[in-house]
Amino acid sequence: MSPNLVKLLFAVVISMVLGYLFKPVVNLMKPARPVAEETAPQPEAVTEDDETGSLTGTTRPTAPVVVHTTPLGDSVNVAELDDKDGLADDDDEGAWEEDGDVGDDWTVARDADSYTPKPAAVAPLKPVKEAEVPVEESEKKVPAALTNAIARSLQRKAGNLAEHYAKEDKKRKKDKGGYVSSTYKPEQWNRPELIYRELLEKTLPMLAQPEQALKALEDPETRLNLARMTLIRKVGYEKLAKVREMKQGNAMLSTLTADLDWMTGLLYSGPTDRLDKALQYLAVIYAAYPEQINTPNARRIATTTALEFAREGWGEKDMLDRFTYYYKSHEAGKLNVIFDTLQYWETRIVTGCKDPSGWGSVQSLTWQRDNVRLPAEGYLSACNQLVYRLRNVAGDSVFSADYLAPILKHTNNTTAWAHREIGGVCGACSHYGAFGALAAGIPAMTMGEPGHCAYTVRVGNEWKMSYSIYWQHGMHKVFWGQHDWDFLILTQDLYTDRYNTLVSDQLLAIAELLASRRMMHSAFRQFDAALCAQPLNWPAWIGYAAYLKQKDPANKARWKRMHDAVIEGPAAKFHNVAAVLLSSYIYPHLLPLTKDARERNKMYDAFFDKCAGFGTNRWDVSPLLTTQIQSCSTNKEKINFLKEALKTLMSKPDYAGAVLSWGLDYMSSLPENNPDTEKLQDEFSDMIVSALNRARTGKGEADATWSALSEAMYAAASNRDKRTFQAIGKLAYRKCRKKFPKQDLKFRAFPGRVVSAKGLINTATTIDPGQMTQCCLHWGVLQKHGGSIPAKFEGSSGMTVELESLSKLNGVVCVFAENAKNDRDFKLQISGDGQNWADTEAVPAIQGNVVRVDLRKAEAQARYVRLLRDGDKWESTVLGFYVYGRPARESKK
Amino acid sequence: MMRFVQFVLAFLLLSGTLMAATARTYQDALRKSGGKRPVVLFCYGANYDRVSEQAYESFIRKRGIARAVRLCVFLEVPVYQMPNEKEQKAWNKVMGKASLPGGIWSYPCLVVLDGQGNLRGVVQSAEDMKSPEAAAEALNRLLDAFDEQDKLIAKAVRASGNKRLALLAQAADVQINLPADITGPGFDPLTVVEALQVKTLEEANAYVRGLIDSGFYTRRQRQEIMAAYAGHVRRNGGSANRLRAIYTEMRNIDPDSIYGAYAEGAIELWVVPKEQDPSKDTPYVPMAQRKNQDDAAADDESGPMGSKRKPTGTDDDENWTPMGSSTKPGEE
Repeated sequence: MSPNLVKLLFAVVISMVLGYLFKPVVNLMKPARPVAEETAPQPEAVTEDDETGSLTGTTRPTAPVVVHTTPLGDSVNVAELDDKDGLADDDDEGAWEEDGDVGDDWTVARDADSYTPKPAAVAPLKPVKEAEVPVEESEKKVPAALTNAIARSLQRKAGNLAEHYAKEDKKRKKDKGGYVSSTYKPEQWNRPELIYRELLEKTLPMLAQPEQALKALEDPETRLNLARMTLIRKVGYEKLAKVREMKQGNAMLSTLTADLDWMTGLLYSGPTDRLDKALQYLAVIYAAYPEQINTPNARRIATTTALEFAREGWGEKDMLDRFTYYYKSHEAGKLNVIFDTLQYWETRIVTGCKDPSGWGSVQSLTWQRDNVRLPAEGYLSACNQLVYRLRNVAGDSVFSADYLAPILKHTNNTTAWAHREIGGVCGACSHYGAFGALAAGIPAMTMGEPGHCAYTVRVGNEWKMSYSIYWQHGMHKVFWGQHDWDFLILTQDLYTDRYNTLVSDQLLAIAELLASRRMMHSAFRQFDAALCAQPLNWPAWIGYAAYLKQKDPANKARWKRMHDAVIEGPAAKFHNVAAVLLSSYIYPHLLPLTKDARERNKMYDAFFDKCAGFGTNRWDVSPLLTTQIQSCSTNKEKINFLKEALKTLMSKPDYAGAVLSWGLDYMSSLPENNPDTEKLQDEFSDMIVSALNRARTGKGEADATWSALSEAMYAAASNRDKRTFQAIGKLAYRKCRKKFPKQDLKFRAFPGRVVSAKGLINTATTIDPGQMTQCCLHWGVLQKHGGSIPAKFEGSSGMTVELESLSKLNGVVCVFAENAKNDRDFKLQISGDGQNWADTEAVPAIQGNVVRVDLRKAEAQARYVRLLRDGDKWESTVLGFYVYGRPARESKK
Repeated sequence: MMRFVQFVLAFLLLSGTLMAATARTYQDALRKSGGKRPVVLFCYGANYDRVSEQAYESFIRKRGIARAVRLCVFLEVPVYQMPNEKEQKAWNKVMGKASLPGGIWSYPCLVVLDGQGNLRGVVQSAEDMKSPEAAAEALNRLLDAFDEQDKLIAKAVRASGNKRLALLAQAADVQINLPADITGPGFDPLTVVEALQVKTLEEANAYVRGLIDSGFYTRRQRQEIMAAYAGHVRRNGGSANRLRAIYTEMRNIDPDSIYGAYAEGAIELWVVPKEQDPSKDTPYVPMAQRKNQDDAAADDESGPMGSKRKPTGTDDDENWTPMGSSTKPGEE
């Protein structure tokens, strides 16, 4: 053993002995523990990592903090407390870890700059921190699920309170003054823990029961006290202390916490992530504009800017610049009058617009404010002020810095101005339109679509899309991590019903407060009440789901009640919102508790009964159906489920194509070479054909059927499902013959049978939404009467045909809509497996619009054939593609 | 007394010629223009915009632009945001079934139309609309250009062949829109970019020179041709001197235009040697090729767009011919 190691061991042993001997002495030096103890409030638990932006789970303060429960005013040396943070962690280790709830496998990946939709990742459930306080036995029981009668009664009472708020608001506007309380003097905010404790003792008991709370909240002081408790609980003592220490921090804090309207705007206008940072930002603004900040408008602008910049993790300087821009623009009368009347939540969309250094920079906003002044609806076409140019006049790509670089000095680095002079593509055009509105103080935002960027502007209370080419939208400014269009409209509806939402938000705050005090019984009742008051309150659903999951995950009655409430509530209009709630938050718990497949199918039907059409916008039904089918344990159950799903959804024109294409995708995702899978696939194919057979094609229904068949056809081709491809093609030809063009294709055929007629054809390009509705014509290309398919030739991709079986080939004929140019050569390749390809020696001959490849001397035998062409070019549409020969077995005979 | 009456009549006649004909409706304005007088529309946000309210006060109520529009037919057009029934009626009363022409990007603004309702120009930038004086000055410039362009168009209509094309290019050079029924010199700058892609620097030079010297292109179009050429040279290892000459010429075609500013920016960005990094002096080498700079200098095989053609102009100013101007290589 080396001497160094001996020394090290000796040092360790000595330190351990000394530590043990002196422990009592150290303990004696600490202040005596108070008789009654209580833990202090925690800051919000789940946060995004500042550096990475990734979710990091719960914050884990080091140790519970003990504060004295001496009467208010008693001198307590906070510095001597065990944990100066004033934070306690009483959360069960790992109790809030998310597991199967996060269904991200079906989401679309989004790169910030690619303008593809952001993933509709399910927001993690936020924990409610609990204090280590004694709790009564009655509070340890989960109350029974609400009955309909109680729910209605709660809803009525909450509605009464909402009416009360509306009247108060009207009166306040008339009197031009809100409720301000002087209960707590500024110096008292040096000791928020004392305020918190006093409020807990004074106010919480009267808020514990929903009926009582709904009465108590009529008093503005109670509402303010609730807000004060919520603020302290969410921010925590230590971070409040930081705010107080800032220049004007204490003044801001005491003014804020005395003003009910301001507190309401801060706490109930959307998410309050990083509330401590928001308060710091607010203090920065307050210090910079101490006089000006006292008007309601200035407070609204300041608070919303602070909240959004804190939430997004943007810097202080940009935050102050953004506030200054909106504040001064508003004061100078340069914003659209719409801005004057925005509520806090919608102001957040404006002042929190993204990209503080580009489109959202002060220069760019100012330039657009002054040079793109339009009525709100005018911004929907403002994108057209830009010339659409992938390459600028010098030939530099929009994706390189050289595109704008030479003009940036002239335009003073003003993004919008530079693009208007030089041009841009969908991203720039959409940002120009959206930020034109935002610069004028009108809510707007860009949104990603697959391979495209579009935008939306709110005109009146209606969000209108512009520059959109596809149904799938990923909104670029969201409150709750959900990017689908449905959630934007939900947010709009939620806050349009502002007083009911306010009541619901307050009940939710009470529920979380009670939960943090371990008053489980009361907390559940308040969660119930919050959802009765406002069934569209997304954070209330999520908060409730999280609490139920933690406290009583096997409570089937409550999960079922939640399921039913979603069906009766959000599902009526917001199908996608309801689908996300069901598939991500409810089904994972409820379905394992529901053993009877018929009962499950009944639940599924209940949801789809609400979906006559797509609702606010087309949505992706696949994740929901996948979650539902995954609950089936046997093939028989799966088939029954598929039958039910097809029966229900095929009768709905909007959903027919979607469910077919989901079914085909699902089937192709099952493991191959499995007899069970093959059987299931066969049964499914038959089921599709029979379901499609039942589809009506009367007047007015033909288009919907054609569209559904085309979508299914596309899915079948993508999944290389030849059998379904053919079945749908034949069906389409039988039911919608008029949709097939009448054309007389003239060409010289080869001897033998057309062995491609019962095959499958694919093109090298992705099919855009417009072409998607015409995919049945792809099948026609293989038939005598012809059809049409976009002809893209790109490297080793071209027109690929899978033949009905392995065949000996005599020749191939491809008929284009227009004469084929002679500038580049065609090439024909063949394959036995669709993976390994071999060139043929035959030289394709171009004759007008027909390309013929004579394979009679080549002795070619193949299952797959593909026609390629040099370069990366589009050709005119292919109308017919025919492979002549004999099936291998037949030719042997 | 008679003299006084004569004086008053003379004053009225004189002031009458100085006063704008004010129209109440859009159709009325076009009718009053008689197909010749320009029509000026003052379009303003009527129910959503305080800047428009201020502009209305100073431009209209206080007659801030009255002098500038004296020879035109003048019409006020209130533009409404989400109009209610009453506002919609007010709009219909002015515009009838007509809508405002495309090309208006901001309100308030002064729109100049010809008698056929073609939009010929708009005073709409914040800078021009900041005061009635600034707006009047900008409007006067526009109206002068309107007259000048109309004269050139009239000449072009009488001419034929190349002369007609050249006159149309001159007319288009006047910084307002041509009437819709007059086809100016057609041109898509990206076709030049595409055409240049396969050319050596010398071929590109000859090609561009041919275009510029044809005389069929407007100043803006010539600048765009030069931009395409400069881009080609820049991406294919052309010398800094050559780039400087192209950008200088491009700028000098119209220094006050946006592509004049672009050329100026390009010179600073890609031609002026960086003090901190003398190695970036000459020649300009694209990032992708920069690592092979030494090899390329020794063995100048790399051609345009990665082709194996040997570029003949990597720098060798002898082969470089400045086009259509007295600017020489290296001069600014």
